[in-house]
Amino acid sequence: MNTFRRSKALLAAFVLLGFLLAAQVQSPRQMTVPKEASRERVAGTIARLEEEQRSLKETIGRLREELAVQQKLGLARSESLREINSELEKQRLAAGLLPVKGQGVTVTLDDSSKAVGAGGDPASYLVHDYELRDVINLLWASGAEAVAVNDERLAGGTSIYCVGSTILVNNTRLSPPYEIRAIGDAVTLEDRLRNPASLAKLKSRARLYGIQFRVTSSKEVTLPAYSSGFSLRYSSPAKDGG
Amino acid sequence: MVQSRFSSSVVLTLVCFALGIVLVVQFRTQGKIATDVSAQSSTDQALIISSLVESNASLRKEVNRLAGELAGQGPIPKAGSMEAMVEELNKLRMVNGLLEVMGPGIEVRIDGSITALDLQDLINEVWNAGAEAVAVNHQRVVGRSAVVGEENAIYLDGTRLDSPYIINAIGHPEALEKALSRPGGLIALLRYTYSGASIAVTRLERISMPVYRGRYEFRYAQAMK
Repeated sequence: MNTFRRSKALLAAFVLLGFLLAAQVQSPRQMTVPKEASRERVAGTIARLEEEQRSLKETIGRLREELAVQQKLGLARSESLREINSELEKQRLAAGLLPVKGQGVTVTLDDSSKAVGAGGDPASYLVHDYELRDVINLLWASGAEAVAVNDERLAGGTSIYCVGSTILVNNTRLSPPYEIRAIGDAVTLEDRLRNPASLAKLKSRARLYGIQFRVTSSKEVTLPAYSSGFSLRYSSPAKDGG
Repeated sequence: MVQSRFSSSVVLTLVCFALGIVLVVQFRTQGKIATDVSAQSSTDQALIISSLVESNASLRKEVNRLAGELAGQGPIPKAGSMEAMVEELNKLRMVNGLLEVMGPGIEVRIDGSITALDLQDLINEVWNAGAEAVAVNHQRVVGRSAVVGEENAIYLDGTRLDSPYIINAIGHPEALEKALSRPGGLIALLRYTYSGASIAVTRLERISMPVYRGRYEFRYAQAMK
């Protein structure tokens, strides 16, 4: 009985020991190994997310820098563009490339309607290129800001000359009557034109041969834009010391 | 029997001892697993991940906003079109006599007295011959320049000129010279009229001209658009 009970206790202790040994051997394998693997997976995900975060921050930094540069550049460019544009408009106005209006005068010159007298020179009854030049020169000298003859605006390089009895302005054939329009102080322009000391030859030819010479001033005269080109094939800006 | 009782007690003691060790080890292992793996990694790592995901989402939003702002910066004027405008501007400044210019051309030198009308005609003649820029006695002539004669003196844009009158024109030297010197041309006419004067036309490889002294003022003229 005693021996039997002791054997039973011994058996139970062995069973429990076996059970616990098995559990101890199993537990790291069953619990630790799978947990370790998922922890590595999670750590990988965190590293990836952190890498993404770093690159996003870098991108933001780069974009902000680029935006600042672009904004500065855009501002500078649009500012200088505005400047260039306004300067261009000024130069275009000065060059006669814009149609203009304002107070001024109109000088009308026309060939004589009188019959050529016996032994007379037919040329005496016609308006000549130099007379147009004379009137235009007087208008400029009197402060005209813009001048045109018929539909031809006078600009840099404009010449007025004749081929036979035809007058050409800007290489364009004009026919009488010649209407010279000028914008400027209308009173001054008219006074200078009417002054007996001005255009004396033309005025005497008007009396002698009936060349028509009329001056009218008006509150608004309109002039077309210069429509030919400016050829600059031989000129270049002279730099310092040039 | 006594021998057997003694030995089974020893075995029982040893078994219980081993059992104690195994139990302690088992408990320790369980505790270790509990602190290392389950508690910290699952909860904390999940928190770290969710905050990273959230932060990255808002960073991505900022990237998109900045990219949009960059794209919608409005049209920035191109450097090329600006260069063309500057070129046009310089050309007009040369035409208007507001830039010093240089180039080949001719010189007409008149020693003697001529009239304002002669000079006026001469300037007209060089423009007509294709001059791109003109100067008289180193004074730039532009479209609005006026030559006025008063009391036996010639004034160009208000400045008195004296003999010798030197007219410079930039352009094709040969073409300019031929046009001016042609038989029956203005130079021939002036030589005939002023037989005492010396009039010479010379080609020059390089002429430089100063800027126009006058001003372009528009007090009455208004550009029409």
